[in-house]
Amino acid sequence: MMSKFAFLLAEGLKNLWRHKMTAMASILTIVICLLFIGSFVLIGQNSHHMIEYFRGKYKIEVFFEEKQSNQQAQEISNQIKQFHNVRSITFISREDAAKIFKQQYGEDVNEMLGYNPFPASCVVNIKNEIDGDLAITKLIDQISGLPGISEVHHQGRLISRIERLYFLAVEWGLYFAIVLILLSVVIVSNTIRLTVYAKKELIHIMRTIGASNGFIRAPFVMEAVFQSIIASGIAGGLIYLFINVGNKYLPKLISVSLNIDLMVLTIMTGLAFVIALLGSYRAVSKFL
Amino acid sequence: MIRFENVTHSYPRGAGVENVNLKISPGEFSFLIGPTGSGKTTLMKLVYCELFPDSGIVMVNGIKTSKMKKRHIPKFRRDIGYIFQNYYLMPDRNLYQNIALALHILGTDKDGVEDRVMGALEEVGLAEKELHFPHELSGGERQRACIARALVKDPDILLADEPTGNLDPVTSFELLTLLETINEEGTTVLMASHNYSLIKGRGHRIYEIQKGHLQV
Repeated sequence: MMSKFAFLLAEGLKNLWRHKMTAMASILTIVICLLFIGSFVLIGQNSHHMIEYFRGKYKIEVFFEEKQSNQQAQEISNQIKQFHNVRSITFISREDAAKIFKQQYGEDVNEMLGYNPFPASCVVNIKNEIDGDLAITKLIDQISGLPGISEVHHQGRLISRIERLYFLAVEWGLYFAIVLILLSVVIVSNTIRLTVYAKKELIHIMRTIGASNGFIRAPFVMEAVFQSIIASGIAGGLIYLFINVGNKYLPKLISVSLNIDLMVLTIMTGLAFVIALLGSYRAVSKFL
Repeated sequence: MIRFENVTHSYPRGAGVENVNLKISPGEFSFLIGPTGSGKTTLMKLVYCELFPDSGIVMVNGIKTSKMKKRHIPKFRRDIGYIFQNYYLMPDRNLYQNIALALHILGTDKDGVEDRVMGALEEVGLAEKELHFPHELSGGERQRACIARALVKDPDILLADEPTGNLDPVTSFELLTLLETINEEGTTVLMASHNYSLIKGRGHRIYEIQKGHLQV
């Protein structure tokens, strides 16, 4: 039993070398498929960094009615802070606003006009963690609906557009990944079938000699498994290289760094393994 | 023993064999002669379960082939050696590896493989060429290698389907003599050929097949 297994294992390895051209074609196909899937996963895993970056920049400026005292305005600010997706509030009292004016323009508004015309205001900072749609319009509506609010300055339309595009991309990207995985299975299966077809004479000889279907199938399946291990190693290496190169240059453009979960690489290897296993099993079965 | 009782097998597009009756005793050497397309290969395939009869009974080594389960066929074939006209040697393996494959299928250990492969190669006179690849051998040597591959399993029955079809007369004669030697050691041999001048006068039973019908 052991000698049979050792023979089949050795055959699988030797076949890689014996059929190096077809093996290379299979490996290349699996590498390309994995790179597509891996790139998509990489983009998917890292795109939330981008959206978090943008969300970190979003600000909503809220101006209170002039009649609202600092204390009343502060109370309304506390109410805003309780809203969903609000990370923090920076409260600016009427006096602070006058100070800011003086810092920026060098004039004391109280001396100029004899009174402080600035209302109290606050800056609303938005949560940057992704846990679904930000619903910025809803948040703005909620703030505007509060009593004592005079004006709300925001980039709501732009934010909504970016957010909508992001979630649209995520949704379509998911469909794209599913199609890509199915295509990969078909392409790899057909490539393996072609390589098996080239060896149909060998299969015929083995059958005539008295080899069982399992014995005939085993070296092909092992060969495909070895191919998948090599292919996933190459694909994983290329993605790792891409991440390293990306991280070297990307922070210079935008303060975002790429990373990929080790689990994703493991799943990719597993996927290649399953594709090769199913593909070779199906392909050999056609000739048995 | 090989026994055919009223065996008929036809292909969807016609031809095959019809109502064949045949009995080959253990240790017998028999020839199957007939023109190309007469049904010789069909008859051989019926013996080693590549085909099954549409009607009638095929008994090989006491086993009724039509009753055999599919998963038992590989084991059944291990007692039958098969030699093809076109050799069917694996081009990417040397002679030793080609012949050893049959033993790996049987699960023979490494030492056993070496002893038996070298024994089979010596029997067919190719011991010196164990590391040669098929393309480095002549037609006669390739056919002898096929015989070695069949013999290494120590089969009860040896089926030779036009083994001299691609060989010159001298090499064909040598090969036939080799098959007779193997037969003298107790192996049942059934050899198909369309070359009557090669097989006549050798004292073996000759079955003639014409358009699927067998005559003794």
